[in-house]
Amino acid sequence: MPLAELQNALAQLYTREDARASFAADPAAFAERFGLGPSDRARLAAIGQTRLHAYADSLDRKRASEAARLLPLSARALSGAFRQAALRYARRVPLADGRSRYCTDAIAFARHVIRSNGAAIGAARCSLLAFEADSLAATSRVPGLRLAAYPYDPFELARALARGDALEACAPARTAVAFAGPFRFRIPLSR
Amino acid sequence: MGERRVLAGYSYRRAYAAETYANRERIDVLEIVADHFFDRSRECRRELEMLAEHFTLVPHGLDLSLGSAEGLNEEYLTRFADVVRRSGAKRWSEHVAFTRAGGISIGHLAPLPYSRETLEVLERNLERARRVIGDLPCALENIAAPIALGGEFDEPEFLSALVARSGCKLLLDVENVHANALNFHFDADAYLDALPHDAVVQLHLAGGEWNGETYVDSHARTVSDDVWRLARHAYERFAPEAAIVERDEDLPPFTELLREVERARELADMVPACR
Repeated sequence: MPLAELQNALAQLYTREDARASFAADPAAFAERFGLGPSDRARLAAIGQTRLHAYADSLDRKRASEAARLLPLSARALSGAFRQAALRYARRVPLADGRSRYCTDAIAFARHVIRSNGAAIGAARCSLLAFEADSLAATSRVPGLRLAAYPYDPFELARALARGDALEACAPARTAVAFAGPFRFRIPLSR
Repeated sequence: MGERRVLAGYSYRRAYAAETYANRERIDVLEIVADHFFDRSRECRRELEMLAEHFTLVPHGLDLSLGSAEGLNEEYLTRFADVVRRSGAKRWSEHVAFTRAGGISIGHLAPLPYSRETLEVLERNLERARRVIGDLPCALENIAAPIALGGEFDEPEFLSALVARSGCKLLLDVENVHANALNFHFDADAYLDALPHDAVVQLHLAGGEWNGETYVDSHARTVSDDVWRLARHAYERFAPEAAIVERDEDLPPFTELLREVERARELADMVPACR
């Protein structure tokens, strides 16, 4: 069905930077990949790069805003670097369809930042990102008890943020947290 | 005094919950975003029950993706139908758009090409939605299109054909017509005149802003004078049943939003067709 193929191509163009680059470099080859006929090829060509990029940017900004809403402590701790990282992530990784997709997206983004940039942002900020991702996972997935451990006490980090203190002032304090739905229980592991 | 014909209300936001109940005499109808009530927690279910006890509700979908050629997402449809049922609504609404394709969620309403095939897809998906939601009337909303995909019809022709084929009516978003007219250089009044008199049952009113050379329907500003003028034209032409003020970002004090709801009602009262 031609509409299904056109929509697949458009979804890629709207959400993936690499798809937009392929399309800009060789529109015919891009259309060929999706099996588009002449009228749909003409439709894509008529969109215009400026409008396409403006739309894609607005979608990326929306995703970055959702990530900041769902990971508020991390967004505050990382400040401008959070939004930049969220925008970069949105340009590379499409938003997967499915239930609680913004939650799933925020969890994947937090884990991506820890994996790819953990050394640069430090263990305290990684602890906050991991804690918020675990909190989201506990409330948005199958009910049950989950345990996670962090090198810094995430509750102490949250209090430091609320006071406006620098996270660097917090000392490492290995802490476990038990998650049961929206409830969280702090278990200090070191003194 | 006769019964008021045009109901005026706003698109419910949790941030305004207390003020909404405190001013319920001044709100004829509340649109609720169905997605905000998918959560099956006791608190969320109770919130919807309370709203349904006190207000006339119209559930509004954001992600049914009625224009998806691959069909509807059955899980979303089931949850949407559950909210419609629990809200006690007499009508539901969604957009003439697609939001997902090939396993990707676009994250927003994306425009459709205005072709015969798209009409068939919409008709098929609406039939499936009605089978699950039940035989309630639905209203289909025109979107603010960031991109125009063209097709065999222009937008008013396409929407008129959709109304005729599907038996649905339109939720005319006046701000979206205004935004598209500015961005794609057409006459917004002529657009309204090209739609059948009996096609529109509800209006959306919102405010937008310029971002460089593009006008964005941000829903972050008060309704502009241009949109109020166009709304009057819509009242005169369609005599809709309801008008809903939308505000999603930069939420103002509730009194400001309520003033816009009252203006929507007063404007209708001035139009003979709506009295």
